Amino acid sequence: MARINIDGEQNVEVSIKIPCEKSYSEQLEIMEAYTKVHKENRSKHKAIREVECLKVLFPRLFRSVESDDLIAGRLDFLPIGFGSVTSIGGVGHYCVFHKLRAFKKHLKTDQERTRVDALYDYWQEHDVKSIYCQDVLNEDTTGRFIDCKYPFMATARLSGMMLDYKKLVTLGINGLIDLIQSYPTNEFMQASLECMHLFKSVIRRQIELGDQCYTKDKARNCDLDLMKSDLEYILEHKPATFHQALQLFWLYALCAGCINYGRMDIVLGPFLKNDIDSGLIDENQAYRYLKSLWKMIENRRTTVNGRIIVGGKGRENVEACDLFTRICLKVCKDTRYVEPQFTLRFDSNTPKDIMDMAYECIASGATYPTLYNDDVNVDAVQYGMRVDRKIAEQYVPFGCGEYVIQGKSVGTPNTLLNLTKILQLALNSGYDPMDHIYKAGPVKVLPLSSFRTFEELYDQYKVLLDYYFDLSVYCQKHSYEVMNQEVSFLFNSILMDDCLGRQKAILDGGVEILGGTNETYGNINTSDALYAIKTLVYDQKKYSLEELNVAALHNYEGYERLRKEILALPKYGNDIENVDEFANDLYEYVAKGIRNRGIQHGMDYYLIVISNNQTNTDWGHQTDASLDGRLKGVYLNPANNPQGYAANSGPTAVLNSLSKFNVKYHGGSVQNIKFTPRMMYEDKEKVKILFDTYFKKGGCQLMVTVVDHGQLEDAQKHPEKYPDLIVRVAGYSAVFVNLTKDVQDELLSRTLYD
Amino acid sequence: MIRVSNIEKFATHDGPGIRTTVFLKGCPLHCPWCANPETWKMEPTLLHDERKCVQCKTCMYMCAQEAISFPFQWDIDKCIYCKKCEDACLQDAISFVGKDIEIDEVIKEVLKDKDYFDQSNGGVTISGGEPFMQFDAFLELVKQCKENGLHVAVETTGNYSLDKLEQALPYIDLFLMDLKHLDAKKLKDVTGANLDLILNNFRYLAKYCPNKVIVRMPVIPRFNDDICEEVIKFCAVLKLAEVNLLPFHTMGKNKWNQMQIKFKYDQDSMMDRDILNPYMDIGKKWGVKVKIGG
Repeated sequence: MARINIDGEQNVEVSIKIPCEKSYSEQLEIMEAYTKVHKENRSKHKAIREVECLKVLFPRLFRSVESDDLIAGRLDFLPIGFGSVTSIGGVGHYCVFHKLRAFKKHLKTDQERTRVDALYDYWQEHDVKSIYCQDVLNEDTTGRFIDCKYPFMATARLSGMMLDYKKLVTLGINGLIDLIQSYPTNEFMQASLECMHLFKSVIRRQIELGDQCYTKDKARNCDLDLMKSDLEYILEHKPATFHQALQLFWLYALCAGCINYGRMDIVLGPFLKNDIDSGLIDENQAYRYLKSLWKMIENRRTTVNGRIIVGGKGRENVEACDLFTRICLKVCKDTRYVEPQFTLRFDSNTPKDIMDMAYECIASGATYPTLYNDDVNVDAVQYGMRVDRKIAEQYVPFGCGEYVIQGKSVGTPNTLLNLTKILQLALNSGYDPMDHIYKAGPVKVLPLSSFRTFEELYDQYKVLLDYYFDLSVYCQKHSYEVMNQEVSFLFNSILMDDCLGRQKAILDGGVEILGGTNETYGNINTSDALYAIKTLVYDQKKYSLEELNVAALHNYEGYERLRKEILALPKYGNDIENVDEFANDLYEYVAKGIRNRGIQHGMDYYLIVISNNQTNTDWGHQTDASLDGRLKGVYLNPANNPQGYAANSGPTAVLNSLSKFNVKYHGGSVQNIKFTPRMMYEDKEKVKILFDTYFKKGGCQLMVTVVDHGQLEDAQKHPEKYPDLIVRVAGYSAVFVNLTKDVQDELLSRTLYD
Repeated sequence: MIRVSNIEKFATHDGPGIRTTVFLKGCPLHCPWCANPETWKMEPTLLHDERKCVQCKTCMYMCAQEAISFPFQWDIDKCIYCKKCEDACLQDAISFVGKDIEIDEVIKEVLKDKDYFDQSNGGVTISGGEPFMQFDAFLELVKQCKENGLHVAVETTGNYSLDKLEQALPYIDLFLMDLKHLDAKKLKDVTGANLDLILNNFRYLAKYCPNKVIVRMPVIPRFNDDICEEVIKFCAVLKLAEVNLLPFHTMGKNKWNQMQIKFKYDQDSMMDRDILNPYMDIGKKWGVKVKIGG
């Protein structure tokens, strides 16, 4: 069978990773040992094999404590290993082939390089993501993530896992062991138990690593003493202090390969308050610990993850949570890191001082916190995910903005659709004008001349969309089947309801809510294009559909006047009723189509997310000119925001357009807006009211970049002058000068309000 | 129908709260520092952006009236406003400012942001040009604004007869009224304005509704930058509570260029707003609130 090539970038990687601390020969040795164990345990239960493999990695891959770390826990990863997500290592038993090849170049001897080749060959057959890709990828409709030639991309990953750390800090390790032992046993439970013992060895290793750090600096030694005594404590006890709870949570997240953390105010707030009330620590000490956590998260450099979420509905000890929130806001403002993605959930009861601190943090240019409106989102999640209100209150956005329920649901975005490309299939008898490959599968696509009404064309497009929705739900579900066939994700399973209770791994029927998400791109380019077609062809009858399509096929060369006419038509983002209604109609068709298919296929939920990392830019490169006037190869619109040039009616208009979508049909949608520092400071009260009104009108989310006129342009020319100019790309923030020119250009194209 | 040059949303400098400002065409004055010179004439005004223009001259060839010549020059007397030049320009270097809009449509557009107005105690501001130039349409507009529960401000020169002011007064909540000079001749020579008309209107408003007035003084180098205190005193005498000193800026310069008219203050830089700060204390002395900027 011809192998599908799945090599290449597997995730957005803007932040440069910190290299592994081990020598190349030791790294090779570890990868060989891992491979050997994987091979030897082939006949064993997947959970047993997994824990045996993890024993190769843990605690060995933990690296030294840095000179200013206040909690222990730094973990390297290699081109071969075990993980959950593509941002750190890979998925399940993984091999990242291009990284393994790059690794090979560092080796000095032929003998060593040959050893790498042997690994490479083995993993071609056993890398979990490769196994999945062989099943679903093909030459025309379905590409790997990220290969933008296709209208649809699919991947296997377990992104966005946010575990029940409350359970961890409440029970401690021994409590978890007791819990595991209280249930009937099976291989999964045995492996889970072994995981807990392995976790203890990780903690013991941290004590050794900490011991190596003592210096003549008394203050530093004092911190190390605390680190050591708390590590010793949590080995056998449930945490009693803020620092102990923080330490335990952090090491667990590392072992689980989780890169989004979730509602840490709920987990850590009560410990913090207790310690402060009892006088054990003061707020300055708490600030230091959290600043250290911030640095550890930044140093993992996942680019699009690292969510810490505070605030909002569904918190028991609100006072303690808010205390934690206030200190986080200070840390966030002072550090100005691109990660963690610090996220504030708020509602009408959120204290004013917290909202004010959040505003100041945003105005300072930190791009954080990103704002989530619980007054809207909780109801929406309740409907979208079909859960009760109490569960919906525990929603958390991860990565670029997809929602999951902390500790209860899987919602990984393993499928991605390019709506603009699919429209082009409808306009070109199923062929993609970019490469003239037929990508409509079994769908019969009629010639343009047959569409007598706009509705007939729109119906044809919908038939194509339906086909891709079917593909999506199949590929999403199949990613779970393949991952479940290979691994148990033990560390994840242990802290996800109700894997222990059911004695089943997360994807084996263990998780309470098996959801999923589908990232849709080009939403607005497509609805604006449909509007242009309806207006010029069917309403005004100024052009035939063929004439418009020919102009787009020529990338508007020789058709510049027609393009000018198209660009002059009303566009989404300007609070114009009928054009916004087009966007909404398409949104609802796509969102409901995906959601209904998920339900029909037995998923607890399957929702679209209108977010993006930089896939709008990457996919735009491979997408032909569209009938909204966008040229060939130009970025697609970011998330559900208008195309850069299209919004010119001020921030109220764009926010009014954005708030028209009914949020209950999606599983996360992100909204970017860009202001000057002048406006953020001089018109502070008005901008606050602007945000507030938008949220009252049903706005679900907002994230704000603050830059000055000409600053981004100047940073392109003189990057050395702007080492800490942070911008919000979409679902992540980045140092502007670290972005590629094409992504920078997309950011520049967005309207700056002053 | 009313002739509008622009509708700006989230206007933050044209009165309290979040506002939508409707800029109307037509002005009786010709202040050489004006930031909106494209509003002066009632007819649509052609703006030509040199930075976008590639000198292809398509606009010139398209113009049957020969109203366009190069180096770019637009002959307003020949132009019949067919706008073929605007349609033909692929660089979007040509645009006409000013179009007739049904008053209902203006109201509809303004009301889109009513939620923002209500939350911020904002509203609509009618500006220009001089809004009173299209008096009948303006009166209808402000009437309908009031009928829709909007707070209505006008940015106005005050350069019209008192009877017009009296007719409009019931529908206006706030006058942002310019006082550019207290010397009638200087004012007339430089701006064309009639100080008597303006002062008459100020006195009337001061008598009947002083709380509805904020005096606005654009502080212009070599024209009136030496009489700020006199203006403050004038306000004190009339018991007008607030004056805004608007520091000279050059943000309208590009529009002058686009109209192929030399901007008189080409060599002047933006005024540092801090130099006006001392007037805040002077204002206190006279019992007048002095604010720097609008």
